[in-house]
Amino acid sequence: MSSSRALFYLLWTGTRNRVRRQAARLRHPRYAIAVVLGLGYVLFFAFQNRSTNSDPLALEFAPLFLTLGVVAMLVWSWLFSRERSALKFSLAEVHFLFPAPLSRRTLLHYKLAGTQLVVLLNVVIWVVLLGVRPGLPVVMRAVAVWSLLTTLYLHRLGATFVRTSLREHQAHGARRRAVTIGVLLAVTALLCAAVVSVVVALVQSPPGGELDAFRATLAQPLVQAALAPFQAVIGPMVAADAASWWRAAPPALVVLLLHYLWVIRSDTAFEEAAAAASIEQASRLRSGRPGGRRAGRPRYSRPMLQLSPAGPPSTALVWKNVTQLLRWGNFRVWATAFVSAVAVMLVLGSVAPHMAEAVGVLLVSWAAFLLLLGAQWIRNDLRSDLAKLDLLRGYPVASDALVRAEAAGAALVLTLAQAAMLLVGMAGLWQDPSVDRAWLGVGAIAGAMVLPSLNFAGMMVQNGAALLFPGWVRVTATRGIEALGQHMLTAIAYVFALLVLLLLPAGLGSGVAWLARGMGDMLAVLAGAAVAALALLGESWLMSLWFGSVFTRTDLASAGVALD
Amino acid sequence: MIDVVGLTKLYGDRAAVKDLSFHVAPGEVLGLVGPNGAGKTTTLRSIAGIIVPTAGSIRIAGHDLAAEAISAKRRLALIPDEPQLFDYLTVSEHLSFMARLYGVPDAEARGGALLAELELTDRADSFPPELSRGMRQKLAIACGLLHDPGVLMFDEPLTGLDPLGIRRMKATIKARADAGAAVVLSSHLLHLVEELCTRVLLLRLGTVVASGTIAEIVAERPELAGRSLEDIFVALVGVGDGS
Repeated sequence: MSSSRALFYLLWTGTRNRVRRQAARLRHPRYAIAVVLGLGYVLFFAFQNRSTNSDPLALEFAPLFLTLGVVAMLVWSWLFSRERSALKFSLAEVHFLFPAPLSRRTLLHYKLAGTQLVVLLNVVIWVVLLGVRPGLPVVMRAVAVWSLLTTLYLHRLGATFVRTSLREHQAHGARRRAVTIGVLLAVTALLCAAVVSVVVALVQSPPGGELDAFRATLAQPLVQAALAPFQAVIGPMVAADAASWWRAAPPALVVLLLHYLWVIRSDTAFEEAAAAASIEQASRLRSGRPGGRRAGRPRYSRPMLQLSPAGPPSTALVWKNVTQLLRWGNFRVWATAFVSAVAVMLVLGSVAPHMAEAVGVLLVSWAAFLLLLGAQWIRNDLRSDLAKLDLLRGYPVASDALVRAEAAGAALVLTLAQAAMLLVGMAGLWQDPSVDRAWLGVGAIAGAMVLPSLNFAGMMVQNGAALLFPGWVRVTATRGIEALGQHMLTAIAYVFALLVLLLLPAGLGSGVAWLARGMGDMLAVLAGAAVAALALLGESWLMSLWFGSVFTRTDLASAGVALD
Repeated sequence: MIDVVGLTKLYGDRAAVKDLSFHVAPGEVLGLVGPNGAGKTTTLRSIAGIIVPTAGSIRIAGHDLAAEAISAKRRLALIPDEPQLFDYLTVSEHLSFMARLYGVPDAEARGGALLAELELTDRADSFPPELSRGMRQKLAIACGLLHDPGVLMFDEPLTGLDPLGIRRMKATIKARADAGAAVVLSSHLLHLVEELCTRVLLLRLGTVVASGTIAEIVAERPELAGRSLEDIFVALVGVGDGS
């Protein structure tokens, strides 16, 4: 058997066995019910006769938003990403394949082929989520999604090679990567110039004329040139019909091919980067650390709160989880990015006072956005402790109290992040004379009552899902843009569960507000918010009792959860 | 201190442990031995409250593990073969965390003494990934001993330790037993069991093959007289029969 056939055999049997293991989980009723509900939803979604969005503004700016999304992802992968999961080999692959008589290029192709399985799964998910639209055959849409995901994955991989090369060899590595670094600097300079010209145009625009100024700036050759490579990548995705798809496909495929050549010619860097990633992986497995959301060692810093030995034992878990997040490698990056964004917006608001309201609305929207996705991003709870369930079960803490404590730590962090955004956002709105300040205050108080309960309920749902479906929760699952479709499905399921959970509190809150309307609108709203918050807490308490009993009985080995 | 009656754990149709009963008194060290798949770890995990037995009852210091789980767990510690630590907590923070969980009043003094005993004092601000395998094992032991448990269980306690660490570990186990703790020690290292344990429980396929002191086991099978524990083990379990 040739080496490539052996690797193909490994890929094929590995995939087949993984599918079998997933199918075997369906013998458990909870998995079977979840699959039936999920498939029903997806099929409903797929066959729904969706009308094309006719909002001209949305149609005009959709490609731009997609382009900016791609730019943001790539900028992030260069500037902030410290993870090497694009190159993650399992411990068994490291032990068997690295010493085997295989060329670096063969290993690289093996890695790329393995990722294609994830990409293809996510292509199917995206095609279903995006739906079939008249004018563009399904195959063309699928190829468009495949091209986008593969290009982004290859870019992430290439970026990892360059970063590793620079870290390992510094000046020598920079010389070896001169072409890449040159292209990178040129694109960065173009993007910076484009951003500056857009910001200047917006600041100088008269009130109400921001949109026209924005359009005019986008038409400038400098901005067009800066966005051109990114627009080429998303071209087939935004094609409305077959003819425009055929026009957009060649540039997209050329960019894809260039990325492939860039990566495949980096085989020396591949070995260094893969070795580094594998050492990290081995260290992670040795220490029993799941997930790998944090790369490298944690930095020592004193926790913000000292833990006294006296007090309720379950608060120790809250302290542990908050400490975990504060020491997570990317936490400082996120915190810095957030503070910088707020500072930029505040400066923008003071330079152009008419934009203060827009800044406020944006920050309040971000806080609301975090309500939906924050519980998926902040995972310092049972999801990150899933590999240590045995250890947790040995603690002298009642199982329901333990589940509540795990959810509370993550909810606390999320609430603090939202509170910061809301405070700054409301400060912006406060400057707007058209906003009723009394109602703004009512909104702030109602938010302060409801947000902690809502976040706690959301985290409880996420932790419950981890306990009920440990085989599906991301313990060491693939990350990155190529797996975005899978994460979207999870997000949809989460939002649906949260909406169901909100029915009773919303009904009770509305009812109380209606009954209390005689006290005045503002007091009625506050009374309704208080009741809704209490109802949410009650629901969360009941969930914790249920999940506590599941926690006692969950056996990861029986659930077929592989932690490596 | 430990009372196990009729312990049974089924995984589907397969019984990991069948109708197991034993008692460990304060100051005793019980050696849990048997081939792979004998049910040693399942027994330890059941006593530690990590898995729920299919049948049977377990009492820790008089507390029923099913009905009074919290009280029972406060009095025990399980030190696994693979140290389970949090990467993002330092050595001293692990001890603070355990002190709060178990309500240890003089945690600082006890923690300091334990770190000194286990030679971890100068690594108090280190994170687990920065420690060697042996040091992480020592930290897991410190976490287990901090609340001065009356029941101590060790699963392959010498894994990853250097010769000096092995000597210290044996001394630690012996000292805890001398201080009145009931100790259960699961190991494949029969010389360790022979050296430390006052009694032995020999398991095979989840059932008890022999139990008691080595003298009692030999008394029941005179043909084993004068033979080492390893020879007794092989004679009772059978060579190559680990299925």
